[in-house]
Amino acid sequence: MHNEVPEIGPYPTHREVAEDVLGKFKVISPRYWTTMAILGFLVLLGVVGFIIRLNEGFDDTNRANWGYLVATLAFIVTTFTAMPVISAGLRLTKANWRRSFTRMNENMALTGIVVMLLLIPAIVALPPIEGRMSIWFEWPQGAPMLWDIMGYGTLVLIGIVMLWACALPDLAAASQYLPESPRQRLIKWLSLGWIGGTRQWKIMYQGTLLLGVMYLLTYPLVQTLMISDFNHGLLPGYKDAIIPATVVVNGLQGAVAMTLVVMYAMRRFAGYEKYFGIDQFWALSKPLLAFSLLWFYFFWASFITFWYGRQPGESEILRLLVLDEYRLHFLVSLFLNFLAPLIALVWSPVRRSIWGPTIVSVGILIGVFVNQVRLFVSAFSVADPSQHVLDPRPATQWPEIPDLMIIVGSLAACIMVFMAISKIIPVVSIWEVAEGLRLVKVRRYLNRYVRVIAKSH
Amino acid sequence: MANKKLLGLFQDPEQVAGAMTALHEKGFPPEDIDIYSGSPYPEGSFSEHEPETRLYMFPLIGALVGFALGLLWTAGTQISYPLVTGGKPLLSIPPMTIIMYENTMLGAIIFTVLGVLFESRLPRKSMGLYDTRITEGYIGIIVDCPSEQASAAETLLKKAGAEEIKKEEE
Repeated sequence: MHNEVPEIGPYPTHREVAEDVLGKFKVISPRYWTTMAILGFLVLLGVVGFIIRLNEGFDDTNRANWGYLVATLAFIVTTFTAMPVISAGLRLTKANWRRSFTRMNENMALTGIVVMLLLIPAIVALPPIEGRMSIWFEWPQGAPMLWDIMGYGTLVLIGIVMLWACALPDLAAASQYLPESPRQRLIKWLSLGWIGGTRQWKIMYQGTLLLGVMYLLTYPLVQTLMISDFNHGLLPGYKDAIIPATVVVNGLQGAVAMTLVVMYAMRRFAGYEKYFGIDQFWALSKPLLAFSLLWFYFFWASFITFWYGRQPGESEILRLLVLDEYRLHFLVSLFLNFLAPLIALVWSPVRRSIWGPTIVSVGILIGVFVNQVRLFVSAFSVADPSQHVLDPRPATQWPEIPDLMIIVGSLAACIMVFMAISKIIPVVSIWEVAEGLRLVKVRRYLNRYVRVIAKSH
Repeated sequence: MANKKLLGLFQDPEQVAGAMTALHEKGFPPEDIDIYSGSPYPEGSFSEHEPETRLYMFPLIGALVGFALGLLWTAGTQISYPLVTGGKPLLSIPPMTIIMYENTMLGAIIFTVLGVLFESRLPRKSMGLYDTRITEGYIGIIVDCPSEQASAAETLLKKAGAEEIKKEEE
């Protein structure tokens, strides 16, 4: 651990960064194709699982069959699709240490394609909104299908546009670096003839900030739609006023955890050690700890309302989600999303390491998934969502083979999309890293050397 | 009068700043000089001309259009086909808010894309006078000047330390 201290210069030049990143970007190794083939096979398994479920139908008696698909959808929205939120937020706050991983996070916006594919069967599996609690008040034509697709679609569109706009300079660089090929022609076409003039850089700055703000504004809407349509609207008696805020905070925790895990994977398997170093892991471990504390704060704020309310509907919801049927899920989530991160990350040497935040993040991601199962599988197991009080409570539903196939296939599809786009758009933003390097100088300060980081604007 | 374009390529930003100062001192209008770089420098680093942009207007207009459409869509349909249920108000505000918000964001993003393309003058069919080394960290100074001033500009760029100078007749 002693060798995991921040390095102090000398820093590479723009040319060295460009050559290094584009050199890695250029190579499509046999290992890459093997991984893609394995992932493709897993996606195929997921499709088979989906077809099995599709054969069983969407009617009320079979709604529970779709619970794990919805939980997987919620997991992807809470982790992969939330990653651009971290990128946008840190760009707005001009955090210098985020430069190397912002592109990686923005590339994840493309997993929105998987979200859209899973969203359609998830909505079809919902019961009609008439006669039950719903955010739509039995009114708008096409609810929830049309408006959910429009909300999710807007988020996915913003994410893809943000990725493309931020990547224009690197697409231009990549198209000049690669030899003539269909891949190079596609990249050149995507770069739109970017030359890097003063006007273009100015618009790039303003545009990326605007798009980031839009992503930040749309993400809570999508999480609110998710939790209200796929959880609250199906659980009679569940009236939690802070749940939209809870799911957004949980999304931020999932996004930070996924960022750390993907950074570790990029270090370990793709040779990006220089870009995803101790600075990034150390800096991200702090918000990870903060979001873990918030996880418990938001849970507790909801829990005590139900605990002291003791209305019949509230008691049944507590029994279902916390005390009886999904108690194990709750305890696993409580441990992995709150207790373990708190116990581990409170120690500075763990935070200031690469392995510490990574291990904690893997636990958090498992906790996030289990928590989504608790929330969404339970909701989809309710036989009659039009009741006022949950009676009888549905039994714990464990995954069946088709569920496991859908889970594995969906997650594999997200990884596959990320790996595919990483060969079209460099996974490290060359221009942002190069800009950041120019703003850092090593200076003597008393008896030691320190890094002085300038603010560009 | 024919114009000529020159592209001076530099490795050192200090030399670029020096060349820009020399060009300004010799009376080359700032709006006829541009800087090409592989990564952005803080505004005004080279005393370059700051182009006027109106990108912020695009999402604003888009958001207003989206909001108006959302309002028309939700309130309009309810008012056109009134169905009073249990004496409750005709306009159902909570779901209306969601739809109007979605429309607002969708309008804003569509107009922002158009704004980025329009304000960046993209897509460009041809790269024009350009050098691929710019994406590797070189900095280019583009001077668009009358032909008779081209040799003066070339001398200034060379004197400031340009590694190479490319020319293009317009």
